[in-house]
Amino acid sequence: MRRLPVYLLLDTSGSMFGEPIEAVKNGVQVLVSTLRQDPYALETAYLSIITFDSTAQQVTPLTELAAFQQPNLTASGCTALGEALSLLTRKADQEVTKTTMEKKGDWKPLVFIMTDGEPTDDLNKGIADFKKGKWGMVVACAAGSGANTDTLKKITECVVQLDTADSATIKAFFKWVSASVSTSSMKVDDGMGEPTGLSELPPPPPEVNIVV
Amino acid sequence: MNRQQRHNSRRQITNDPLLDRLVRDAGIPDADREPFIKWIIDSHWSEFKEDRMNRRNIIENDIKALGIRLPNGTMNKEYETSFQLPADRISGIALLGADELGIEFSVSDDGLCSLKGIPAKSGDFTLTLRYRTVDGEPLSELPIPIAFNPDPRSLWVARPVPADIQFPKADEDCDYVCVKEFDGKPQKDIVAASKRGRSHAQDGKPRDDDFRVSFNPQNGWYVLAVADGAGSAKYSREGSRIACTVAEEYCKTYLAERGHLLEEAVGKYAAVRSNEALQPVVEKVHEALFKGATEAYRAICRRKDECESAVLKDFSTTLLLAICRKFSFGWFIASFGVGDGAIAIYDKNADAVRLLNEPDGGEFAGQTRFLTMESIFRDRTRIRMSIVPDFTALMLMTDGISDPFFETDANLARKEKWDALWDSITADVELTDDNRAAACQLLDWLDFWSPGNHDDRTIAMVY
Repeated sequence: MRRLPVYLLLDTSGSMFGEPIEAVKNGVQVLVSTLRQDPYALETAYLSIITFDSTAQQVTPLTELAAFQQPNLTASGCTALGEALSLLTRKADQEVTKTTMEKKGDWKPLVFIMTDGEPTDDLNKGIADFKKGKWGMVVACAAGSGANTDTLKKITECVVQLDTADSATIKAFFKWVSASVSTSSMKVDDGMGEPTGLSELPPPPPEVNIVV
Repeated sequence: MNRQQRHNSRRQITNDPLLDRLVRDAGIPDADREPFIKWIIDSHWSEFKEDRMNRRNIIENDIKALGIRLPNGTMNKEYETSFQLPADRISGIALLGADELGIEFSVSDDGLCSLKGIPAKSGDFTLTLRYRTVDGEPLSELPIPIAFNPDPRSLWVARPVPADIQFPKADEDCDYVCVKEFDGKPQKDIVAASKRGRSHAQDGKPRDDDFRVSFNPQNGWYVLAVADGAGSAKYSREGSRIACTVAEEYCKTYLAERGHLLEEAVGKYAAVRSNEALQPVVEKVHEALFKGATEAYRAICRRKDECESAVLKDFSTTLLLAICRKFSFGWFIASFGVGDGAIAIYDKNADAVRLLNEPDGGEFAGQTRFLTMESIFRDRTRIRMSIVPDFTALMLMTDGISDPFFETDANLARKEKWDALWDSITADVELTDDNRAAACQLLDWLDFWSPGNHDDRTIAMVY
């Protein structure tokens, strides 16, 4: 079976401490429980979580939705987004099955990046690594005004912004992520291929602004 | 108060001569004796309580630090897991909330906690681990999350197709063509079935696949057509219907009128097997199959013209077409294929399977070719022919079946994969001669479960 890998890159730097990180945890929980009710996603979507603060770590390796367990997220330190992109590229290379003569490989991974600040490490190296990978839809989300959307535009065309990083807004973002994963898993199931642009995803809620 | 009374009151403070003496020797005045002892008890009582609470907290923290995580389960599917608690430090262990979920909880003497049962509900739940740490302290509680996935099968809902759609189509269809005994020998029959996929049913979308089969007792020719309308094209169900109907009809008519010429050519070729003798066969087959497909293409173009604001792409469909006939020297089979899916001559006892199409797959799904693309009539030879002594089944199927059973085009060449498919079919379908019930059985077989594969499924075969 061709899996649909979904990578969430979540900012767990010190500025996320308090309400934002709690909202992110809650968001992941809602994302998973919603997708479990979706027959397409339950069978095809696989989820991994990479967090980045002073360093980047994969807190959840690519796991089938049915077996996914909520990781414990805490916020502290700076914003190693560059390292997170390098780690993502490395992990996806290991975890995403490639097509062979005998086996159909996985679908190209969906990537959702969420950050509330400027990267504090060498982002260009991270981007250089990232560009070597094969990705499906990549969405970067600037949570609140602290994140620079121009910086995120260097990673992907698809950048969205949340006006504030409060729990209601972050929740709305995760709901949209969940709807996007649902749509993508349905599309691949129907043989229509992966979505490639924001226009093929469900329209974002009012809290999530598309940055053009 | 007389002396005796005073003496008694002094002695009665504790009823303990030793303690009384110690208090007296310490020089504590009579009047302070009681408040002093009360003070001692009070201060130590709270110290005692604090110590007990601390001991409880330490144990609670240690239990929490165990990081007990319960694996996720699935509704209606056996669940079993265990975790270890320190039986020497806590007692009275209970897990609240497990019962309601259909899970039985038990603890062994050495603190091994087991959960076993069949989850009755799906969702995210929180169980409460309750235990006693220190006598006299309140019971301790620790919330433990547990998640049960819904049964994936229960999430698929069959929604009806809106009644007013253009080009309606039944959600399922099957057919059986019974070929009567000849010369006292049973003859191969045709069975075919087609069913709307779960993913289409979920969205209330119609079946996009189609098929058409026939046998002409006058000339002995079998004709089979199977088509898969593209999921993304809005009128593909009509495209697949036209493709099957027109191509089958064309071939049938051609064979009725000019089949004898093809038979003659095949007979000659079978005798000498030379390239020269092959040429007339190729020509005739081309006239039947290639033109049949071209006619289908034209019919779809005409239908497109009848529809306002429709484009040819809206009718995108694959087409697998095959004709076959029994000769004295064996079976002659010819096919035409565009798009994915598979046509094959399967002989259970042979070492290999004979594929009669080359699927137009790309590395990524959705890159297949369709009958509605004019280029397909030029880009490669889509006709295949074969003469075999006999076969178990000639099968035509859409990718709704070939994907789950073969996954890749390379696997289509592997006989063991075909054996697995054949075993699966024959386990549910009685493929005995003249068994009309096989059509319904085949339709039921199409419900086979394969995660991630819920496309429309269509199969037609001569057996």
